[in-house]
Amino acid sequence: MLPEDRKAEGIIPDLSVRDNIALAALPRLSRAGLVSDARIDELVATFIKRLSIKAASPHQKVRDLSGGNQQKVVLARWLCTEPKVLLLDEPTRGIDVGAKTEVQGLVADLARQGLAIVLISSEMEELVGGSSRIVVMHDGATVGELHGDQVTETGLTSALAHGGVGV
Amino acid sequence: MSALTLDRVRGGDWTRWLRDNGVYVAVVGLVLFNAVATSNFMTVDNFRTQLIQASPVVVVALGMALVIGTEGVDLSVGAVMALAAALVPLYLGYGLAGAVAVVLVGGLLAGLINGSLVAFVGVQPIVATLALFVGGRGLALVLADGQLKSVSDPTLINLGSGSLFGLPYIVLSAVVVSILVGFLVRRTTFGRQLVAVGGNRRASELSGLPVRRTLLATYVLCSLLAALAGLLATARLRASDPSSIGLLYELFAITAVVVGGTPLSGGKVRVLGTIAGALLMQLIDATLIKHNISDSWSQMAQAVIILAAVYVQLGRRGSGS
Repeated sequence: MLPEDRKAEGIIPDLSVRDNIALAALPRLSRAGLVSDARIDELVATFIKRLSIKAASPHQKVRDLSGGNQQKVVLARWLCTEPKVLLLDEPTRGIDVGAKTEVQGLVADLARQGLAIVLISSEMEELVGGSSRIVVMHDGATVGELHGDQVTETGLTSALAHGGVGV
Repeated sequence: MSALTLDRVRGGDWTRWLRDNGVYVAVVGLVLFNAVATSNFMTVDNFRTQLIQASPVVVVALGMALVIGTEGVDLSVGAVMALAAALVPLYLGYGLAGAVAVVLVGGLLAGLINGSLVAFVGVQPIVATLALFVGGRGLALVLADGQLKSVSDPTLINLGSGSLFGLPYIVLSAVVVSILVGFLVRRTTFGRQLVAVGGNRRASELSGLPVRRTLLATYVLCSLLAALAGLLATARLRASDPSSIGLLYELFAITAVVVGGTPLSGGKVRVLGTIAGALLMQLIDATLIKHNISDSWSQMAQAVIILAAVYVQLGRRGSGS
């Protein structure tokens, strides 16, 4: 679950990159309530490399990272838990173009590796580029659904129009 | 952009260093000052006295540091100490073990009340703990019939006055508590989760952390430590005096924590800083007393130090984001 509002709901600004990444997986990384630093360091190093998180060190505070890297930290936090389904709420909102492409690439990679991803986005290219199925929702109800070949910008626009959603 | 960030960090370096290490510098400075300016200061006996007096504050302050780490505060610690003190003579008849057990149960209940109000009802910590702050001492006075009762249990008196290898039991207790709390904060899942909850509660919830359980456990620990401090104070006084035991301890504890560099905004627990903070307040007190300066001056000195500590923290926040 990658929340929409990264600063308020995602990162813990004053904790280090390492502690932020290890947060959700803590119970799996400890024995009898005792934290294993060696295992955390190993796991964190893997994910910093895999998501190419740019931080001076794993001990740097997350608040000092760029938005894109903060987002990757939150993503890494969940990947540590080896999830089967990942819920991404506006994963590229408010991060720079380079990081955006990187995060989108990562998400595509994860999907290829067999992870089920629910992507919530208000950006049409992101949706069309990254989805195999799109559900259009309006006021809490499903108003349209696109599969396979229908997943195009035009298809999405018409689905929005039919659903009575103003864009 | 990155150059700007760097400059900002460098500008904040000085305040950051002061915030992290100021308390140690102050303790060392004050010891050095007294070594020169105060007669009979550098004696084993004096250090022993200072440590004994600081010990209950250290115990309470460490619990407070945990609570403050969750972005909370516990105003009831002094009242819980009084409650513990009132319970001791009532149950000493069942032996010291019985009395200690009842004291700890009392602390547990107090912590459950505070913690439930904060974690489950969602009351702000300052208001939630205000209830016991006001009511706790009242209850203690009712339990004790408003009287000072001297205790004569030899084990308890030995706990208050005896020592092991020259280290008084009271100081030893504070050392043990310090090690345990330090271990808790650094090495356990609970410690990491506590700090995360204090750093960003919403994010911790969304990350699947047991936020409420963590909060409840934190308040319970704080009250248990306060109850222990109440027991130690009773042992040292050789009497249960609920009207004076633990009085103003909530303020001493908060001061020690804040001066020790734990931010009131939570997300961080500084164990060594808190201990140093408690020692610093004790040293200031002792220094002023030994130079025949009245207690009221000592209180004002403490106020200045609190303001300075809070100012240093504000400076950091200003340059941090």
